[in-house]
Amino acid sequence: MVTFKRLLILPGVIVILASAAFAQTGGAITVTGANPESFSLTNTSEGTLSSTIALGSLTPGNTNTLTTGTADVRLRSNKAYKLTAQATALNITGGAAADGGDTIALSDIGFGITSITLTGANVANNGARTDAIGAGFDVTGGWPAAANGLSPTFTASLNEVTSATQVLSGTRISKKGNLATTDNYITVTFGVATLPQFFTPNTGFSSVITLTIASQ
Amino acid sequence: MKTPRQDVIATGFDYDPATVIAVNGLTPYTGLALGQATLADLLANPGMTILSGPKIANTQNTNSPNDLITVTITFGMVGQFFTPATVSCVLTLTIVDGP
Repeated sequence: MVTFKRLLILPGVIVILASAAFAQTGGAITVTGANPESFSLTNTSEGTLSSTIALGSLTPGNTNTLTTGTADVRLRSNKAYKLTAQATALNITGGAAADGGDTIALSDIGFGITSITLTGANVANNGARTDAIGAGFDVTGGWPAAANGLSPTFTASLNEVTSATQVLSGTRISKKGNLATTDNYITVTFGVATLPQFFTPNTGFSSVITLTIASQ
Repeated sequence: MKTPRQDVIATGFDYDPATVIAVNGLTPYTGLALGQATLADLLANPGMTILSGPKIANTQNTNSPNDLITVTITFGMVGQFFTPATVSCVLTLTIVDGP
């Protein structure tokens, strides 16, 4: 009797084991990724910024009107940012002898932010942003007036950015989107200004201003 | 594999995310209801069926190269200025006896 019971039970055990051997009924797919800290500074075509502000031939006039120029920059970030500017030394070509006079210098060229647009549907904190323009670089209210045909007292000139100097900072800019997104950036307009004067003659001068956006 | 086959991809999952064109640099997927499911739909509907069909294998030999169907699951995403982070999601697939 004992042997007979074992015979009845064994087939059942075998069936269960066979079923378990093929029971690969589940599995997992792990999706991973990373969103790195991202900062972007582009021109208005979302390309590399390489803008030239041509002040032209600065012939002295009979007014205190400044010669000005601007360049627009688009900024995006997914984290609080700071923007620095650094100007190279003034490169003068074809310069004549100073002969006791003054040659144009970085301090004769005002530099600052003339306007800033902080809104966009995919701009973080849209409508409530409090980006801070560095001290001296806020010329959104206009350039200081020149008097007596001389350079005005600029609150900041290119001479103030001979080393990397913070000119703007703020909280995260972009809610989402990428560089193709048309409403997730802020636009900053940088301006330069100078008053044409009887500076030492030259055939040209230039200074390259490097803008860098980075994490705060 | 038993043929002819009439496997059915559930509504919302029968599309290739890699071919969807993003607009304005933003996530383009419209969601399950509009035919373009996302992982959010799976999270909102745990255990939902994404594929079903009749018996697949003619035999129980798992070593047979011709006794199976292959399902390719494609994921897509538009890189954006999202909050910096490392992310992961585990998608559990389970095959069970059909209706």
